[in-house]
Amino acid sequence: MARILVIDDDNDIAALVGLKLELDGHTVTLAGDGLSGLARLRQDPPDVLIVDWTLPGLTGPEICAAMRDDAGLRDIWVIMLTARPLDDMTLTQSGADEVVPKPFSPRHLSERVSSALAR
Amino acid sequence: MDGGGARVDRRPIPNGTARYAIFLAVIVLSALSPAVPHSISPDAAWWLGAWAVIVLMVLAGYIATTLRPRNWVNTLAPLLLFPALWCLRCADGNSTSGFSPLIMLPVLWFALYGRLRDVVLALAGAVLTLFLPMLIIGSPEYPPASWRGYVLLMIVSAAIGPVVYHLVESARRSNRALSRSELEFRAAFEDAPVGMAITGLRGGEAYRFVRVNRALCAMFGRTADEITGVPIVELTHPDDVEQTNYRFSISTDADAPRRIQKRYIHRSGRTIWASVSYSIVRDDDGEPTHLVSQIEDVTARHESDRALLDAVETDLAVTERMNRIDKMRADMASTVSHELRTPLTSAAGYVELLLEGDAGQLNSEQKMMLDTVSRSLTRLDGIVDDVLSMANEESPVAASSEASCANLSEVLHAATDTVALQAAAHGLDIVVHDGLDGAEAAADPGRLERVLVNLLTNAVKFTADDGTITVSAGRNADSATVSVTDNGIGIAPGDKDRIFERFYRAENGVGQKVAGTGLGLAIVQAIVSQYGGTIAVDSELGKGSTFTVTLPLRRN
Repeated sequence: MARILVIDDDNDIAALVGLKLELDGHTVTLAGDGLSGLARLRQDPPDVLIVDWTLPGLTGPEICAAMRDDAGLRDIWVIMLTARPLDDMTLTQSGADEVVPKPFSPRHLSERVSSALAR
Repeated sequence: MDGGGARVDRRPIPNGTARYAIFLAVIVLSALSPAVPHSISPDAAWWLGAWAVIVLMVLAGYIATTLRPRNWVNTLAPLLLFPALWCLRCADGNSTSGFSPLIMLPVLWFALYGRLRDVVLALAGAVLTLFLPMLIIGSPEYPPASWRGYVLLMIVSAAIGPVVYHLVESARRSNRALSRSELEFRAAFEDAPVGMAITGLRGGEAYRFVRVNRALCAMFGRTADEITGVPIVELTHPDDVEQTNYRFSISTDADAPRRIQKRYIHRSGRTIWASVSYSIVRDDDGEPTHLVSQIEDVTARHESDRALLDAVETDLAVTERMNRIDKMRADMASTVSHELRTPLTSAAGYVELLLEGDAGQLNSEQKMMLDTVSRSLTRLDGIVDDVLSMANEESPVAASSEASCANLSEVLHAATDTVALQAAAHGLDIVVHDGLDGAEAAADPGRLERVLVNLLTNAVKFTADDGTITVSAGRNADSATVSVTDNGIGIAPGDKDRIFERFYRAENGVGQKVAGTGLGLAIVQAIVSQYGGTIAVDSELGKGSTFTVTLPLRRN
């Protein structure tokens, strides 16, 4: 199965996402803030990145911008989680491949990951 | 007062031909003076008396010209020549000294009242008068009274007459010209609609008001006497004194600005804003002596500029504060949404995992309990949505930042799709009559969808199972109408006006409150009015309600 990095400063959410994806058979790594998340990303690029919008250190969109500048990370599929109200600009502003609004259903997120891996 | 003005003022003011008639008559009579009997022998007393009268005459003339307004003293002064002549004849017999008044009079007169040129001409006339008789008579003494003597005197008088007349006339002309320019100047100065002032630059008058006009007095709220002679800086605004002194020090420099802005102080203490422009008056040597200033009161203009500026500043401050408040509100909304939704996500997520058996199979009781938790969390999520929508709808930033276009038919169908499941769960039918015919509104589709979803959700909430919800949509040239009708519990007349208030909750038919935040209709109204539309409600308790939204169409 796939290797997935989850960057979220909320331990409960990170654990929830991690648990669900591990139940699905993926290998999940967790990071609690933007900087350590980006370091982990560079050290061991995953197949899919799940990142929260609001993070200490670097925010989700800042991580996406940093990834775009890095040839080794550019092609990683990024799913961004956000509690912000969604509008037409949200996806563009995020820099991610898709945005999943909070609250989300773990099943829905797992489906998003599967379809991302199918690409 | 400038040098020219001073000269003008001390000139005798001619007052008609009477004065010159008297003057000429005296000259002619003087010529006839040898005819006066002079039995009295030469006498020093008469001689002194004659000169005393002449001095008196000159004095009278001088005093008369310094008096204002004009008077008769200087007109009558020449008459004193007659007693003077009498005294001289008595003192000196037939000697030519009898002519001395004839010589002295024009000389003195013009020396006092005329210009240098007049005096020189008068002296030339006098020399002619003295030497012509001597050449004719051949002696410095008049012969005893005889017809020949009288004829001679008439000739001399006739010779003097044109000379004196010429001198007098030239003086009169220049006086008249001066008088006219004086009158013109005075009219221009006194009646000018702007403040006018003459300021001294030298001696005791330096930097003081020498003369001011009525407009300036009105501007300063003072009389001319209260201003004249007062140092300029005493009437200047304290903050401008330094600048004023500096301006004076450079006022006569060729490149100094001839127009300045400064402030004076009104008698009442208020500030007068003035625009001052001035010209320089110079004496015959070209040295500056005075300034003639035009002082225009620009207080009103200044105040209106100031008011405008203040208004703009206030406006900017208000706008900035509003923007700050809006930003705070947006920040708060985003913080609140994050803080509330994150725990909601984790709670709902774990419940979902449990319900799906990811942590082991659940028995039916556990499942029922977790279902309740899940439903409560869903409701809580709805409340968070409502509160955040309300916060966003109230923000003018949110309102103005989106100017988009919504196909109303698409919005309508998206909304009914959203509510369809919920309605089906209650066994409710949603019937749609779409007569929108491609109508478009200048609005955000997402917001409009929220309007319809809120109305439809309400209809579902307040309608008994197996009821019907009807959505009718239509348009005309300018607007589109969407109404949502249910056959639910209806709204009590007393509640109808209040249901659009925030957090207002009507009771249901049996005195119970239905779940909700009381924000749904407030959000509907906020969005609809933001796009220039209206919402109306028609309801009968126990029979159902119709909510009708009217929106202006987008103009192409």
